[in-house]
Amino acid sequence: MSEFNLLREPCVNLSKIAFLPPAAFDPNSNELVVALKEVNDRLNELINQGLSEISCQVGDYVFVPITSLLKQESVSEPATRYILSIISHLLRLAWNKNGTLPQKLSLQLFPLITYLINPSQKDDELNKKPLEFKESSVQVLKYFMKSIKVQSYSCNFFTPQNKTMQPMAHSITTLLHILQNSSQYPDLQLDCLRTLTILYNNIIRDGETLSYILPGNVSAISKLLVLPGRTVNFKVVVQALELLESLISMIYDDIELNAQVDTIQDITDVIESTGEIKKFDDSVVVIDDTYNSKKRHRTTSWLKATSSQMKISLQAIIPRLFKRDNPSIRKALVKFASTILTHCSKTLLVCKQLLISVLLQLEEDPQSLLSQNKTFVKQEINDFLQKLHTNIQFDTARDIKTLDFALMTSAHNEIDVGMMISTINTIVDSLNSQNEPNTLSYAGTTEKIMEQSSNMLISNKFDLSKASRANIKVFHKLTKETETSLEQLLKHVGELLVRENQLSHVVDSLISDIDPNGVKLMYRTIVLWVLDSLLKGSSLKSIDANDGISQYISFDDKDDSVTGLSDDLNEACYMTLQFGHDLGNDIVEITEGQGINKENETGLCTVLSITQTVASIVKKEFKDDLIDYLYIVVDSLASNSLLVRQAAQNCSITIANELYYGDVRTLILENMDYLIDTVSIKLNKGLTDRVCTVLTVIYRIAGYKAIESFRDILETIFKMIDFYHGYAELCLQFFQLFKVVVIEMKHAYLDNDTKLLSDDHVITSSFAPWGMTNFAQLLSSLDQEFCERSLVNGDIDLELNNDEPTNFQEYFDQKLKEMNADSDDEDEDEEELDMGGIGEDGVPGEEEDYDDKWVSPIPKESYKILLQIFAYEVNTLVVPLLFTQYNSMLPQIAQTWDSIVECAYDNDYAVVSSACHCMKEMMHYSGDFIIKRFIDLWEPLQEKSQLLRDIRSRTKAARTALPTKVTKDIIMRPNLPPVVRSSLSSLCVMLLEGIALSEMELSEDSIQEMLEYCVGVIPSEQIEKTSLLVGDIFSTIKFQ
Amino acid sequence: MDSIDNYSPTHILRSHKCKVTSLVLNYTGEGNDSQPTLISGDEEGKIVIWNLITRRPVEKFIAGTGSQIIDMHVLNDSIIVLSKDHSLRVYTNLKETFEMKVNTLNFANISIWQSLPVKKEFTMVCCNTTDSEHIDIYNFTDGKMNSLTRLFNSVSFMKFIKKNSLLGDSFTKLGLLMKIVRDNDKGIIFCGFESGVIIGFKICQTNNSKLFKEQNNVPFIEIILLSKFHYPNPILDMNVDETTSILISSSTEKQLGLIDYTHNNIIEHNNYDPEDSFIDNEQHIIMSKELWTKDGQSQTIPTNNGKIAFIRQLKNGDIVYSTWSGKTVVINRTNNDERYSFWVSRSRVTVSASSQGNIDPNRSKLINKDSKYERIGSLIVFDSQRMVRGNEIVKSSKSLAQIRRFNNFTDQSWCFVGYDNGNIAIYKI
Repeated sequence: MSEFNLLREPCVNLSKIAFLPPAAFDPNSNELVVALKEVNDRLNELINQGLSEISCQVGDYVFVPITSLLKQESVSEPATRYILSIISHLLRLAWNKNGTLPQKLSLQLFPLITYLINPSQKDDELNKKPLEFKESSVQVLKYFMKSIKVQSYSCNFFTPQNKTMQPMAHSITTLLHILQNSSQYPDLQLDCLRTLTILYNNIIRDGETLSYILPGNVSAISKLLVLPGRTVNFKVVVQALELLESLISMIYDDIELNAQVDTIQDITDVIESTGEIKKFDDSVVVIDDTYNSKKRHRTTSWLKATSSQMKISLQAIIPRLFKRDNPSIRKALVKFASTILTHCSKTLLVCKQLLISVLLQLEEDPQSLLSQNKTFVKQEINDFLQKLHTNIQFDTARDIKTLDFALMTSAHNEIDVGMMISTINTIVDSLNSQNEPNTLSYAGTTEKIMEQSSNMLISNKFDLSKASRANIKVFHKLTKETETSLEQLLKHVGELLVRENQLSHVVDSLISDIDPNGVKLMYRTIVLWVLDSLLKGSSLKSIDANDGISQYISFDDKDDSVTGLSDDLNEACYMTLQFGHDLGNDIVEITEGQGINKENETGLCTVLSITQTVASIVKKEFKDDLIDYLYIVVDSLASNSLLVRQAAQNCSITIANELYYGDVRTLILENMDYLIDTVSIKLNKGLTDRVCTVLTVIYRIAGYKAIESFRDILETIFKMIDFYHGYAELCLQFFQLFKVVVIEMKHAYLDNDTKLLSDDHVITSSFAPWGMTNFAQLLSSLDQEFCERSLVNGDIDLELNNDEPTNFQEYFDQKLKEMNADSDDEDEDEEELDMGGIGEDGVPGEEEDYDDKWVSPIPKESYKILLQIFAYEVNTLVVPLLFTQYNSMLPQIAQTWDSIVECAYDNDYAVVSSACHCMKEMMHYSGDFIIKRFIDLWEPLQEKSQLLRDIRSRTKAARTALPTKVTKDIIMRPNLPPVVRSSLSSLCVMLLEGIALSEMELSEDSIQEMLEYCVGVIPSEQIEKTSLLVGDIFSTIKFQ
Repeated sequence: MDSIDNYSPTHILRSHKCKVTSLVLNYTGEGNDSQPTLISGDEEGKIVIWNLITRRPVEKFIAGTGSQIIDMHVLNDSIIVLSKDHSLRVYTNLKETFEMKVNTLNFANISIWQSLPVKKEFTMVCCNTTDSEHIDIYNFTDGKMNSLTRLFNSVSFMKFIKKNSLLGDSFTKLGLLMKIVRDNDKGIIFCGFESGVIIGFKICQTNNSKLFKEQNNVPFIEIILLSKFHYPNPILDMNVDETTSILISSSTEKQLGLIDYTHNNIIEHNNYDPEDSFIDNEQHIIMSKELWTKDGQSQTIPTNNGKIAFIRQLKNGDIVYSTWSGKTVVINRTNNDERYSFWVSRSRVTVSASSQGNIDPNRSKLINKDSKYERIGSLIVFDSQRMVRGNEIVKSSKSLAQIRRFNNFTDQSWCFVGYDNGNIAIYKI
């Protein structure tokens, strides 16, 4: 009895005051309050200790002084507050079980409590009370109701016989009042609501009784809920809604009231007794009064009056609650609407539209009520459609989603194609009017997309394996959310139209009126986007999945959708694709040479998206369509715009997934013919945008065979250079492409052959011709003799005079024959030569006589490509490849040498570097053929070369700047800027190569002059390594 | 930027690595050949069968030993190929089913048709085995190697002309046989010769005992046309329009010859009166004197280009021709308007892999002149107006896109040009 021990002393103290005779009792005495507080505190202490129960005896013991106090005439307000609190504690701890609170006590206690809370029954009085008082009041009522709830007499407690009706009304008023006026104390409000809930749901549980108190409750709750903003805590809102929900569903229960919607049963129903036609209103609901003989409060007229009031209240509340956008509130609203629609769909017919709209807007229908109320849903759809234009204009994603949800719900059975078309048209028009440029934003939209080098694609390792995740935003004036919800809506519409085989009809109606020349590009893009979204819907399965019946029943007429595409969808796909493709081609045409702007970018992305969509719908069938539609995808992979590239990447991956097991390379490889054909047509028309990049991609993927199979492309490019050699940028593109060609050719023919076939022409030893190791070298040295002879004759180029055309050839042939005679174990090539001679297998015509044996691993045709490239662009890369057919290379070297030398004189040191590098390669591969030219080069080079002049003046300046005098013999190497240094280095490497080839014919002075430039630029060891002679001369050079 | 060449091809078919020397279309719009196909043959004997809707090769094979294709014909399931290795081969369902030797030294083509389609019997007119000025006419049955019979052996039209002194005393030589074409409707064969003479004839069977020294039921040649229009320049190509009975011929001059042979076909050969005819009893050749005296049926179409190597006619009266230099022109026959002209130019810089280089000014000049345009090896025309429209496509078997592509092809007339570089360019005309 620790509770008792704890409580005994304060109770004794309280009793001392409570049992005072009325004359001696001071209702306002502080002692009383202190004593009450002490008891209350002890009880609180017990509760805080976790005690849930005290014995009835203890309870009664505590209650004794309270009873006595209550017999006094009055008590002060603080004292009253403690009394209420103590009673609530007692109700909570002691009288909380069935049988612990005798009916007699409760019947006495209840009026007393209500009296103590507000004796005047005036709301003003209660308002003036402090918060603590209100709290205690609510607490005591709450625990009273809780206690009553569990008592056996609970259902008969609130009866007129018990005279509890009046205090009950009083307590309800009190609770509602506190509820309304304590917004800053949500816990208090929640207690009020809980108390009321217990009272209505657990104790009264009778619609008829509750119908009396309904108006007050509805009014109070609506007043609470319409408070602006977030004044009311969301938990309070949820609780209030639940209360309202339970009240309404009890009071307006369809079944209990046997309510009937007044429909026309008979023609006489329409005729008034006066003979006039009755104004028929299908919202008239009749309650069957005959169901119970007892006189009832809830009659037809009552219903008529209250239901319309109810509608007004709900109309006020619901929009407010939507605005709060709180998940708990939304959930409560769904439950509220669902419950009312389930239980009161007839009685509250007037509210039905409103409740349906609640479910639609919240996009939830847990009890499938929407499908039972199609007419209402349709009405809502029409309303939303009316507002759709505004919603798009004002970017209201919310309402678009609602419309989408509504359409989907109504679509389980039949659909209204007309409505779908009007939806689509509204969307197109709205998007279009929204995208109409106004002067302000137009400046922004025409801005060009920042150009990105198309080389990015080449330099990066062209990774097509994974899709880009970036989302393409089509309408930059809409938020992504609105765009997505519109897309979703359209997808669903598309899904429905496909189901009804109406899509092609709709597509046709959308595009047939469009005159490509008469409308803006953006309008076409919008229509295409809409069509794309519709088509995307065709692969959705949302309707069927939701549709309970179709899961179990298979309809025969749906079979075609399983095995293949319906004609309708197929037609829709291709109509759209063609429409999109036309748009794409127009954009490509417009942007040719212009760069791409935002509008074009969006258009192209949409075109790519539709291609992707169609490819994923028609699947394998799309293979046949690559002939028409693949190029633009590959072309877009090379676009300047990142978005377009991403869209193209996604599209190509989708196509590859459908057709080539996800391998984009195979996709390109297998359709190379179509791509190349388009490229060639474009080139023929003079369109060059991205062509080089596309070719590069194809060449890289397909390798040299693509170059070989489509030689005419290169020919066209050569022609273009003929025509447009003034356009540096264009030519640069082509030259870059040539580089790829050369590299691919090298891969194809030389990579496997680690040893260059004609390697033997190069004599590695510097002391030629003594280091000869094979017969070919002997031949070369013989060639050299010839060469020298012609040089002596003043014929600089290795050309044969017309009067002795076959001299050298005869000589050469003879040598070859000798060679064959010498060695019997020659390889097959030479045997062939022995048998067939040279001309037979070569090209027909006059060249036959001149032709050498073809020894290069590069076929003659390809070799000609190399020559042609070399003719247009002297490319260092080409030289080693040309070398494979040594004799054919020499004339080319002879022809280009002079122009390269010119470049080596240039002011632009970068040019000098490349020129020297190229000269070095030429010398390296042509060997002694070029010696004479090299020897002749030195003098003019010193004179004309800007670089050497620069070096000389710098050296001079450095020398004079030195504090101490340095002898002229010592070579100075001033600090050079990196550009100059690297060019000089290239020049020196070239010189060393030349010296190595020709040292015996060069004067030592020249060699020394050359080496002096190399000092400090080329590492000494490298110089010394060149040859014995060089090492010798080099050692005499002093430098600093 | 402008296009490089005047009129670009719509598409290019690439598969041949060398000059495309022969093209034949296999599509009439009738029967089961619902996919238009093109058969092309090249200098190295490669034959490619193209699906013109997908523009891809469906079949490739090398004819015989791989020498140049001179002429090709398609008759039902058979492809008849004449190659430079003096062989005529018949491929039935892509298998070689017949082969015989034909003189191809002068590059003349052949004329071949199915005389008895049920028995797969063919009749062929070609150059005589030994004398390139004479013609042979054979019958053979596909699949039967020993079925070859000579209907006419070494027919010399010159003998006939000389005997009857038809072209004057100064005319002594017809020259090599250059070209043979046939009007398949009327069974008229036209032979063009190096001298510029064109001879049109029919092969007939007679029971007229007055002719050919009382021999009955002998086949004979009835000449219905003898034209000196292009004399003395060689015939380069000829083409007949069967519906209008118009023969168009070309030579090295800047003009085309147009002959309307409608009225040359009227005489019933059984009613031939030896008195009114030129008769060659030895060779069984006959020609009505009335036809010979009639003249004025030829007409000249001047052109801007000479050396026209290929001629084709369209039903709307357009003529398509290609020159040796590589130009293809479409003109309107009636008003001589040039509707299109196209070519493939070549890059200015030419290279030679020869070790001698190409610096020699004369030599390089020659090369540049040669290579201004890509040369043409063959020409064929798809005439949409000749198509039998209607039930050509079975809708259910094709997707809408396929039907659209099909119609895009068949609704349009196309010109196919086989170039030296192995490309077959398709031009919209």
